[in-house]
Amino acid sequence: MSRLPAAFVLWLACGLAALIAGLGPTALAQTAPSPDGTASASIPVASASAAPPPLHGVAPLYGDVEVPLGWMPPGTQASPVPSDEIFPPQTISIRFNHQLHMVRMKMRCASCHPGAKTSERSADRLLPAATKCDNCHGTDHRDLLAVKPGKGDTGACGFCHLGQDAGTGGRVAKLVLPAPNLRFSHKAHYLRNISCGHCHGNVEKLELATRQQLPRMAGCFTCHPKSSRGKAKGDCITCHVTRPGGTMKTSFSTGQLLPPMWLHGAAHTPDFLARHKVVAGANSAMCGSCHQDRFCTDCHDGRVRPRDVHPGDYISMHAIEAQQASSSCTSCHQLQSFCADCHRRVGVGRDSPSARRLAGRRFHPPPSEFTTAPRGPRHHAWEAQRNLNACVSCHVERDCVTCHATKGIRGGAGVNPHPVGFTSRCDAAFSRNPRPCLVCHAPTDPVLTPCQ
Amino acid sequence: MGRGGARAIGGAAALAVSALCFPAAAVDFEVAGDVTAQGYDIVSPWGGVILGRRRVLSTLALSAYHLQGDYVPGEGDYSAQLRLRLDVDFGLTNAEENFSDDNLPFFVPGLNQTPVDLMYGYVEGRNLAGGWLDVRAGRQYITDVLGWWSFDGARVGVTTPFYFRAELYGGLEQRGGLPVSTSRFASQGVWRGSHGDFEDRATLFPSYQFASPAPAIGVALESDGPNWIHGRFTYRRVWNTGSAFLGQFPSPIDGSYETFDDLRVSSERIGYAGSAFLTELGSVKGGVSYDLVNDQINRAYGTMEFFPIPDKVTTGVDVDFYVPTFDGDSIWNWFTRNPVVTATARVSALPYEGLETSLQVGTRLWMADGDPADWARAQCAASSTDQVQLDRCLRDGVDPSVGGERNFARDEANRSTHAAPDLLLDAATRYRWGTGRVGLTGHLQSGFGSDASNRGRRVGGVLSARQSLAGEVVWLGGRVSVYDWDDPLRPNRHATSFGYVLAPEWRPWRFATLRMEWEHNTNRLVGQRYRALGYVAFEVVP
Repeated sequence: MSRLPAAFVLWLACGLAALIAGLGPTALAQTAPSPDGTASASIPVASASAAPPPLHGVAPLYGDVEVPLGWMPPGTQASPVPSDEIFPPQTISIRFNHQLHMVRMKMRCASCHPGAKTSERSADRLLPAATKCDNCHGTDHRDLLAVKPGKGDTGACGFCHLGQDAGTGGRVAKLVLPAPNLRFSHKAHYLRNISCGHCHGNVEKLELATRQQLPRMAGCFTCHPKSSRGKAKGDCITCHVTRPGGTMKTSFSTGQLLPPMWLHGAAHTPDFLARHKVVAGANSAMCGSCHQDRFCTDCHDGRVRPRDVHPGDYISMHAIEAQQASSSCTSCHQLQSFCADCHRRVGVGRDSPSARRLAGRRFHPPPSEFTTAPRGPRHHAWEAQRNLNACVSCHVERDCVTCHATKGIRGGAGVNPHPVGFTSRCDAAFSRNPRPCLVCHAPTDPVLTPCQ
Repeated sequence: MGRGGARAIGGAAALAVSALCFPAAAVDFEVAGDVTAQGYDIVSPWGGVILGRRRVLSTLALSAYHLQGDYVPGEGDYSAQLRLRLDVDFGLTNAEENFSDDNLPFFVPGLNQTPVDLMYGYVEGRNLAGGWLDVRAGRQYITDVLGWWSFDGARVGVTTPFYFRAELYGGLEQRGGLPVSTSRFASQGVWRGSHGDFEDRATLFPSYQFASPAPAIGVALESDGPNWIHGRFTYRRVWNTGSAFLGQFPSPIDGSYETFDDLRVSSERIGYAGSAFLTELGSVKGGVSYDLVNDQINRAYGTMEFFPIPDKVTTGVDVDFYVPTFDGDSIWNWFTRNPVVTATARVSALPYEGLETSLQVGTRLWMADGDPADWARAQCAASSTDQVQLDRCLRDGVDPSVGGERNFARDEANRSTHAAPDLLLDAATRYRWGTGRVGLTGHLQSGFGSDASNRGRRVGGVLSARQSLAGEVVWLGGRVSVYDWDDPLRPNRHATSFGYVLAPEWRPWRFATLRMEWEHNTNRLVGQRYRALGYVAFEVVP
């Protein structure tokens, strides 16, 4: 056993040595392009301890410093990072200095991206062909299976292509630029004299253009309000790809497309289940952009307990939740049928069938506290005032009118359940629907006169 | 209508929409369905099994799009959608479902009378008349500040270039007891349904009202302008028709039951909800619904959100005001009841990609007229000369010194609103990665103080996880939950529950899902509870 740690350390040391031996020399031998990206200097790195200066053209700004917000696409402040679902992650295997080409060399966007003027699909590849570089760099990309480097360092494969041994054997690292999951016409925007920078930010001030320079939805809304007409109306499906029925496609290989928080607070955060009512109540059409009717019905008119709403053993604890949050129950459940039907079946309801009643069992506190008198702290009147829904989930009208109907023909005990001030507004109620009044009061009852 | 009739209608509707799907080659269609079988027992808090539920639920959704042929953006587009449901509980007994004198000790009126229902089914035309007109006819939903509601009828929407659209709809509210309908969308507070084969014995259940068509109309004005602001004003009125029992007891004169047969209002509400946001600052939302039958606000809410760190951190405050209101036929509209007010503050954060957390803290206030702890005691003590009078005063709530003329329930001194607060705390966090997710939620709601104001406590949490294996063909899901609750009104009902769910899932094809769930819960009241669930679903989207 004592030799095991020693063997382990030995294996570890050998492994590290092999790693250094395998990686070190090759990495140190690689030609490093000049820092400004323009000179033809080949700077051999003297030793591993002296860190090489950062390369130009491998980050938006030299040294990968943060890009000022003003140079970013509009909407970046609200959405600092482009959506992975709309713009899937890219692998940019070349270095490029837009600032150098556009400012110092006076090139324009269309010099390298002429296809943008005519592109009508977001999937169109708008990067310049490699032959575009040949004029200045002296390379020959006409046959991609036999690319010829140019003279000098600016013509070397490794000058633009990143990665170890770039260009060796004619191989370079693959540029991965997935098509956006979006409907977009560069042509339509170009024809309206909308400049590239309007959506992509100040690319001419940057070196490498990355995903960070892709548009943000908040920026689109600055020009595309919902009130706009024609084909560029600010609806979701103007830009987002859809399912056959017109609802947005939300599931992509890179993730689930979800609304941002700023969009009417609709972000599907962990607490969204509790607060989605507010969003849907104000703008259900927005919900309908992604969700079909059946998505809502599965919960709101569902017959299978949604576990995110009702946790395990919910049947055992539903009574206490009905006591604590009855307004939520009525979002999905009809008290007098859904709730009370089951309560009748199990014998909890006062009007349960005789064979179902649980002999000697009582849901409420003893009648002396809860029902009769005196009207102590545990009397049902308080609970009814606070949470009448809970009463209605078990009891039927007859249970209540037994006491609360007027004496005489209606068969009650005359206990008045109305709030103070009720007579001042009972006429509006009576004129709309006198039926509940007549359940407890005989039509000739003089107390009805003010309401009639 | 019996089950046979319901099934016939359902089948005919399915065939009709199926036929709509295929006449034109350019029509897109979707077909989705699922079958869920569940078996579990309901155990009474005293330990005995009181119901055995053996349920099978099946739904079928059919959608056909672009019925006009080729879809041209900006031009009229027609579609049809339908979803049917079959919900059967084989645990129901014949005696519970079917009326007869022998079954009376078991019979529950209205139970499971609609095993087949049409959840929705409509034909829709969008972007008609140059984009001015939308129409939809059939069973459909309206979702707005007045709630989530369903009716059979037609809706016409006019979208104007003047930053608003108008909507007018009318038809019949979906009512339980009517063919292929459920009670889910009717106003609360009325037990209503088909009387089927016991119509001549209806007086046995005078609280169980007759199902009749309920005409409804509604109108809405909705903003259709800038994205950053949106509002919808809405009005809806529903009428009750047919007979309803009045007195709940037989007439002492002739033993009969009176009915009320006139057209009357079931519900009439007016509401507005709006929201606005600034992408870099925050958002504000609010809504109010006014019940014209009750002549009071039945719901109001408001929320403000701020984005201190855009896309990362959101803070907010919410207020919700709710008063229970009921169908115009219901007596409970006229019972004393008070608002439930909930106020919360919350924060949600995305610390790094995939990890989301949220925390909400607040209070819920339950109101009562007067303080339950000392209600009328001072008045009774002052007006009673001996213990007998005092007891009587407290029992009846009337002043014995004036012969019962003074009722303390009507006394303004007892009208000062007493609020019983609950503490609310909700926390949730979840982490999602490419092939799975794990989440933890916690909840606490607890009252304070004595029995008079303490409305109980519930505290607990759920840990859930889901992971795909074998290239998203097989999924493993599971949950563990622990909850503890206590109710001062029912101290013998205190319990701590532990439960777990195991849920393997198999997706042999992209369009099909098969899942099994095994749930086991245990608490001291019911001992062990088990639930088994099997789920098969498919969705075909060519």
